Amino acid sequence: MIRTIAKKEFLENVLSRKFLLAFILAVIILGTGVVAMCSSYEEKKDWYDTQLNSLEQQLENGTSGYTAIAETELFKVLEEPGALSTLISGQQTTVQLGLGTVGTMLTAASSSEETSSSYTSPLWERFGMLDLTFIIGFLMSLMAIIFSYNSISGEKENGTLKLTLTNSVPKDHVLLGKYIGGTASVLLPFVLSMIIALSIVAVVVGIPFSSADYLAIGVLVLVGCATISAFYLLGVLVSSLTKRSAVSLLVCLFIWIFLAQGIGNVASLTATATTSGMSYDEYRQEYLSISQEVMREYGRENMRQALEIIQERQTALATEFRAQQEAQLNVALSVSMISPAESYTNVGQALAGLSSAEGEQIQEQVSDYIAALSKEYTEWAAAQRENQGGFPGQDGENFFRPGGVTNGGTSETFTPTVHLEDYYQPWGISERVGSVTNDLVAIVMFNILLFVGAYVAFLRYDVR
Amino acid sequence: MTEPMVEIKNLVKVFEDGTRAVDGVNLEIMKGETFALFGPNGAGKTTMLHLMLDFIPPDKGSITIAGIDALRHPLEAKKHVGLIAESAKLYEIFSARRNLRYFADLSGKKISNKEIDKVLETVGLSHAADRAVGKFSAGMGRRLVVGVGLLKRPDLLILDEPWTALDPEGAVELSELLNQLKKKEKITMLISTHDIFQAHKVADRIGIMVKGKIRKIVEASEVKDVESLYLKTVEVAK
Repeated sequence: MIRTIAKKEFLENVLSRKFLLAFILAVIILGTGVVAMCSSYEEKKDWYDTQLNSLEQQLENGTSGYTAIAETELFKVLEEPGALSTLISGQQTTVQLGLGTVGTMLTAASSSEETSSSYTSPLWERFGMLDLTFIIGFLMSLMAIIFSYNSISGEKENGTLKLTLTNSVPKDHVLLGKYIGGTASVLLPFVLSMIIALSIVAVVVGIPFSSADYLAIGVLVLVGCATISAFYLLGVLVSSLTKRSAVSLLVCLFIWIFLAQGIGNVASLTATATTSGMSYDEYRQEYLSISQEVMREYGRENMRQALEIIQERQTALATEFRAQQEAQLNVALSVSMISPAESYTNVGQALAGLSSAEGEQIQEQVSDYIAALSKEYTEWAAAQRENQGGFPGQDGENFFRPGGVTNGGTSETFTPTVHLEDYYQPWGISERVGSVTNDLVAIVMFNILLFVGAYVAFLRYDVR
Repeated sequence: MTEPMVEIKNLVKVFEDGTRAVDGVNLEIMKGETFALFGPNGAGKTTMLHLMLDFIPPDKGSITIAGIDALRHPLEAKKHVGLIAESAKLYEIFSARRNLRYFADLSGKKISNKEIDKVLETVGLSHAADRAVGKFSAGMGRRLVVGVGLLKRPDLLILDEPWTALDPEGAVELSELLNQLKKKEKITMLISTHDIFQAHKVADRIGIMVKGKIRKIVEASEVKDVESLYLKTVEVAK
């Protein structure tokens, strides 16, 4: 019975014009989105190669300070465009080490003027890109609603629900059959358009996906299917609670607008309302005022000590501000989990390596690396000073550079033993999936709760 | 017509607003009999059919269909029942044949494609078997709904306002079709209607239902003045 009803539901949807429309839209939007993102990927890859070449050239020529070592190492791992960026768009992790640099404080590659901001074409910045999270969170969720809003109330209006239930078919079989067949009919255009999109990326454009990328894509498709299923069940639930299709459609659209579009604002407002802390302007003012306060207190005669205290206090303030921002982000992410579309976006971003959690991890690892490199350099510089007597030159950090620089006929080279790979360990798919466990659980719970809700509502549904 | 196909005893249904839609109905319909339940709108006819089909639960009473307690074993009882629902529209995107195939598969009985063709022939839709139902006229659509009702060769065919929304020609056609079924298939039929003129052409007995109660049951053959019966019923309903 379930199979019969599922088959009917599937065919009824697949043979309808709305299916054709959904399929065409999904192919066009995902196809053009992927082509656009492939183009952006290739632009960024060219930019990355050029920048990396330039940084390595600087290192070889010895025309830059030792910070170039860190910059080059960070640039290599943080800025290389991932193949998954052809499916999921978003800002790659930006490592911030503080607003100002004092003494040996380094600015990471990602925050320096020339190499910091990940490359973004002005075209994509202006018009945006329609990626997989848009396809699921906007287009397919809407399609799921459009396919399911009249699944029960529509059959009641047509009288076919009575004819169906006049047979010895239990109501739960009817609901299960409608869910399976209906969801399959919405998933079909999604899966087909995904196959087309992946073929464009891998075969036509020739962007190399690794096996880990394919695994991530598999998870993305699977979670995407679960997200679409949740929206389909939402339509079935509303349809089981209303007598007329028109009412069901209005209610569904209202909820969909909130879940797909309005939730971001609600999450942000809730986060700012429930977490106290300073604004960015307040933070910046306080950050800058630290130098003045400390300098007033210690005077120029205690410059070295003052600089250390300034650095210490500014670092503490930056850490506090970052923690506050993280707390706000966590609240916003928790609130946004009431929407499966937002949860899917979180999962997509995480699997593409764009999540804030991974960013925090990278931030910590890079900070440790910078601290270790800085320490090693300080010790090396002190040793050099001792050997040569006095301050080693007018240009500070540039004096001891990798290529070696002459100071009064002496040539010295700083060769670090600290390397980024000793500190930075990129996340694998298991860590990335693990970081969005809450979102995955939320999507599964949505499916379970909505199904149970639809089941109870349908059992109590007035068939007449 | 010796054994009862339907036995209803002291059936009561009171809605949440206090309306006694069905108020202590007792009824027996014999095998092969065509019983018309006539009454004005709101008399409780359709509610009674819905109680028989387990669409809503009764507050009191018992219903037996083909010897099965329909309240305790509704799915079992439904195996014997076919429904021709009021103003039902089938799946417009499917052909007449595919619609019938779907309901045949739902019936739980093995119904061959030949039998489906036979049903299409019975309801006069062989020529439009592969046409999408969305392109059917109202009369053709209603005939197909009758086909769905007949599909599983039910022991009891329940017809809910079968003549509603049909033009006079369509109504006459449907009455002729029901009479043919009565003669050829010997199906027991329970018709709920407010069209006493068509009901009189088809039914063996007519039950007059007003305000949840069956006030009177008459043999159709004994009713000479249908209009008078109609007017009397309307008067009682007031």
